[in-house]
Amino acid sequence: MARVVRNAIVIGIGLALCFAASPRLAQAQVVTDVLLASEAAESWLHANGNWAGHRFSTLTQLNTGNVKNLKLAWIFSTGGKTDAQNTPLYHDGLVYFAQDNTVFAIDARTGRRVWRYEHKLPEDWGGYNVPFFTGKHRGLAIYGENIYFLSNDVKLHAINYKTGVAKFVKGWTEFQYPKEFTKAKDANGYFLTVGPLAIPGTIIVPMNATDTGGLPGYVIGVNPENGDIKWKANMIPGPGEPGYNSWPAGSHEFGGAGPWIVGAWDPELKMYYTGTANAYEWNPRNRGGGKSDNIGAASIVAVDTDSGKVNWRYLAVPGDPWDYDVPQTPMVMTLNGKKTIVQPNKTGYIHYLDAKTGKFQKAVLFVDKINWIKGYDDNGRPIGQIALPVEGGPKVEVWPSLTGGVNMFPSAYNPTTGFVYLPAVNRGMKYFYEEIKQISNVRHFGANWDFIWGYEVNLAKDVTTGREVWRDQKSKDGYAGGMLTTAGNLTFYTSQNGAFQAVNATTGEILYTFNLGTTAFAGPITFSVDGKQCVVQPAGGTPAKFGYQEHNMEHGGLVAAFCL
Amino acid sequence: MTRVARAGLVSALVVSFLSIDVGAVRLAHAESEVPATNPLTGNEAAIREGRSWFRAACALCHGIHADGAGERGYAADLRVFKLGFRGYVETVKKGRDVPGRAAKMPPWGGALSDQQIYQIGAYLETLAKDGANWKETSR
Repeated sequence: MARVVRNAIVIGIGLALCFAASPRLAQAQVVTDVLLASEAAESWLHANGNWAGHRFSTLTQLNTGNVKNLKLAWIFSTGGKTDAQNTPLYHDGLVYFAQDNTVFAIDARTGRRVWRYEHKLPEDWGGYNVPFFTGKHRGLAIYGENIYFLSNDVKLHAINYKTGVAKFVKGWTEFQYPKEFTKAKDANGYFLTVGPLAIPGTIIVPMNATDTGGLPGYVIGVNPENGDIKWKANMIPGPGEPGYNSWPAGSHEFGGAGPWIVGAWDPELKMYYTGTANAYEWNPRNRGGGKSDNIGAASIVAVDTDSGKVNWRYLAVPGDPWDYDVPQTPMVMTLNGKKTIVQPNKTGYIHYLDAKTGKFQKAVLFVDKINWIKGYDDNGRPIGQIALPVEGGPKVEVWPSLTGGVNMFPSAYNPTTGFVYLPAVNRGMKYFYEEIKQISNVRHFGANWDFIWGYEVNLAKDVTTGREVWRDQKSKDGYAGGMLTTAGNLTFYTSQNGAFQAVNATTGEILYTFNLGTTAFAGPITFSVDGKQCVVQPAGGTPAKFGYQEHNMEHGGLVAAFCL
Repeated sequence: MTRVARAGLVSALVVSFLSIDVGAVRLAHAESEVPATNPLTGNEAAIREGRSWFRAACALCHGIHADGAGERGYAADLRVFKLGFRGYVETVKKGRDVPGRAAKMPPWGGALSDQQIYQIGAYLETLAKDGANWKETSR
């Protein structure tokens, strides 16, 4: 063959390979129902990785052999003004991250900003506890060509994933946001710090208002095209529902029980599972004094996503005297051939329920020190609870504290190892009740506390036997930001001390560590771009999580990417 | 007495009558005039009520011990408060912008009454450490 022709063929093949390999020239990948249903691999399409809430990636390129070669690829400064609670998403070259009512799209290869979408809160935004929640967004969703984002003031934003332009912004008149006391007659309102979940044909929106005055929680399903409500599921039982009478008359309206996290969804059962927040007020005097069950608060609730009907509510903490909400994602998994809900929570136990019926199976203890109960009986009710504080009376020592054995910082499940990974803490408190003060239509907690500081402990538990397999116990108190686990036999998390760590998922051996210099409030994610596996960890906010000041770090705001 | 002198005397009497410090009556008229020091300092009932309000409205950010280590945010350590009583009242009523933070101090004027603000102040004074100044700001 003539050299010219051969060269032309070589060049032609070379160019063809270039075009094939260059994703920028490939067609943008719309997120279909099929993609939504998949296990986390190249993309990370759900805050919890998949519908079942596992935070598990099937990628194996990073493994126990090579993770020590991880390198910091880029850092993105978020300018964050509060805690970086958002678990990002990754799809088709872009990392999506939300903070301070702003969504960033970050080029996964370079860490450069591609677009920024900012939402301004209304002038009269404010109220009790509201500054604490402002700017926090625990998740995002992606579906079709849109990023779905919930701003704090109860609006759903559908933002084009490539351009950052809003397709629609939807608010709902029945869910008002909280207002500054001086600017509104009724300051009470809903605030959204959670994230939506995309399922075929519906965007699920958790509607939370608990600690800003106790408005009752809902989960709503909306149309992805325009945000119109398809169904509303009330967390607190309504008239005619089982458990309605477990609330004294008049207490349902301020009972709290907000859905606090991005839930899990089972496509066969068509059920959405969420944990709910504490009952309100914290001092139980207006809702039965701890003697009424207050079903729906501190509960795991299953919602039928075709009709919006609540299928069942499992009550983890009857009468919720301790602010023991159950804020973790209830994970769905098959154990011994049965679909099971597995949820570690503030109580210090991992609760196991039948996913279809909500029937209690067992509670596995995971904290070192506990005194609030002796255990759970076969029906899932606590046994031997300690005496409640008396209003105005002495403080009662309680373990775990109200921040819980685990808090909202997510756990993860690895089907390869069979372990669940918990960002746990051993910490107690001295708790007491007081008069419930009221301003405008907002009731205050009526409770207060002193923490008894303990230690951070990141745990692996065998999900079938309940045995603790390994632990990474720190000397100081704190919660890690959240767990990620992979088929490469790795588990990733960032300690409250700011150390991002990759550990052997089976043994707990720490294989890689990098000091981010500030605390993480979210779990990391992993994905593959240009054939390379990367792990992305947001960090930043107040290092003094819940008021523990011993970590000696400053407020920060960043997203860090580690790649091979 | 001349008419002028009588008018002057009457005016002086009226002014001094209006100025008499009569507990709550004085407070009710004092919306626009915050006293230089807390009229409720050391008042046991006010301190108890102030502690209750502090715990409900302020402790989440300022900490149960007013040391700035709140469970719901971190804020100023009030045990070393130095702005004086008028500075305290103004800050509580107007709130405070905190650069670089989403969690600003919200304004409580109109939500808490002057009485309640003074009660909280009376309680906070009992927590004051060396160097704190709850009286007039030194100029």
